[in-house]
Amino acid sequence: MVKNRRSLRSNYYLLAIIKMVMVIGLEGSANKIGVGIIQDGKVLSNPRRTYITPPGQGFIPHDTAKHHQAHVLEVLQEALAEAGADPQDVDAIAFTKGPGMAAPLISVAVVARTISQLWNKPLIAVNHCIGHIEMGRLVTGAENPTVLYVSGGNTQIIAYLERKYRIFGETIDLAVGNCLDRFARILMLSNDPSPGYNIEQMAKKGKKYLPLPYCVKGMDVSFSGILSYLEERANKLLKTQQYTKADLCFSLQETVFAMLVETTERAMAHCGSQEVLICGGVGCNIRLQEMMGKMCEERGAKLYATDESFCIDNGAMIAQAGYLMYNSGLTTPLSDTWVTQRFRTDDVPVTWRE
Amino acid sequence: MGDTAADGADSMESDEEISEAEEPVLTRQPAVARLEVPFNTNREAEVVRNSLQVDPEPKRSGSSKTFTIKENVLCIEISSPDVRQLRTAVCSFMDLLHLVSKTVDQFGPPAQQSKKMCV
Repeated sequence: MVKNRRSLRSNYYLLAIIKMVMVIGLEGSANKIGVGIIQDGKVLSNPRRTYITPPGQGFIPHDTAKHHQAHVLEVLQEALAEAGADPQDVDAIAFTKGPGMAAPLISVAVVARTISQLWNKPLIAVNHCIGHIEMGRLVTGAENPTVLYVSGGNTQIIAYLERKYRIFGETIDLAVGNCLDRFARILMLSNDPSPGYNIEQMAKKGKKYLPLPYCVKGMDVSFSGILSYLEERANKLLKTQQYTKADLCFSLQETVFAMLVETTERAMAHCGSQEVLICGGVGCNIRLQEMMGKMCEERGAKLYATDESFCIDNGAMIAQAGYLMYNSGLTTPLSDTWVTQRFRTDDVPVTWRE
Repeated sequence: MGDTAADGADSMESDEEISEAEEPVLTRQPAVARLEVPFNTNREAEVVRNSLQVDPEPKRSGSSKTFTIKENVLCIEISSPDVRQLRTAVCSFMDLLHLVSKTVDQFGPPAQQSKKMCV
């Protein structure tokens, strides 16, 4: 309801300013190259390509960069066509500054810088992790959740407090997705569509549980021990037929996911939070969602998760974070658009939230 | 590489003969590649340069790049401690240069700069 005329007028102007803003986002920090276009909270397009390596092989920076270089312009054209957008309609160009792999990051950044100059539109350098968080909040409508951000490159438990996304807990060595991906390589599982997806499918058929090292250290988690343990034993266990590949996938998931649920619950207890948001590629995993859901149920909390179009790295999430930054007056001068492999989530001033 | 610190000069006075004999040859001149790439206009050459000069070379590579523009021609000088590193630096650079040129071809020509949005 209208409190007074002045607030109505300023609300109207604010609405008018926000209403027409369209931001394009470019993402390529790992093996996915995605371009997305968002206008006022609506995803107009979000095409993506994934660089998939043969079974047993991970993706290395140089080859990944070549892949992105080969596809980025095509994906950019697709994004514009699908959105029915013209360069004139775009208000700002967001791109991933980091964290991630340097060569792929640079390959995408140079394109962002170029179109920014060609179209005369400002650039917005976005933190990849914040892209995931803001897309999760947009899609699910979660108000102020405890965030579990889990992917091949990152594992963090995040809570928002006073203009920063604070890292409550994190991995002290590998990301959980990295642990899963490397185990998939040991088993020679296909990387198509992703190693994590194939582990998940295998795990569904697992019956026998192998006890594995469980490594929670206060608010943090550690996965290198579990991975080493499996690297040393997996082939022998499979050869002697004590366990099947499915059993090992099942055991690994149960263990690492339990660790994540425990640390998330600890953060929730500290913050008095009643909401959990899972984002990042590993967030697609239904078993993880199930286990987290059970914990939330026991606490009377609500679980939010997104589907693979937004969990997995994509351009729209960068566009969304860029949109929020742009609306709060943040743009990045060209000379500051250098990319960086390390970029802490809590280094970004979250000026768009109270 | 380059000049030693000022405090080295003090010890030089007393140990001049000895230190000259012991002084090892640390570096020789860098290997240098010079490229000249013409574009349609001076503005296009600027756009390409602006996109490519932002990211510093990786520290451990010891390579460096300098850009100059002569009318519509972008001139790049890449120098590295040895040939192997020069090849790496030049190859990565060529990949990015090619990508940026394609971007200008597909999404250009540069719009009129109504106001300075980017430096």
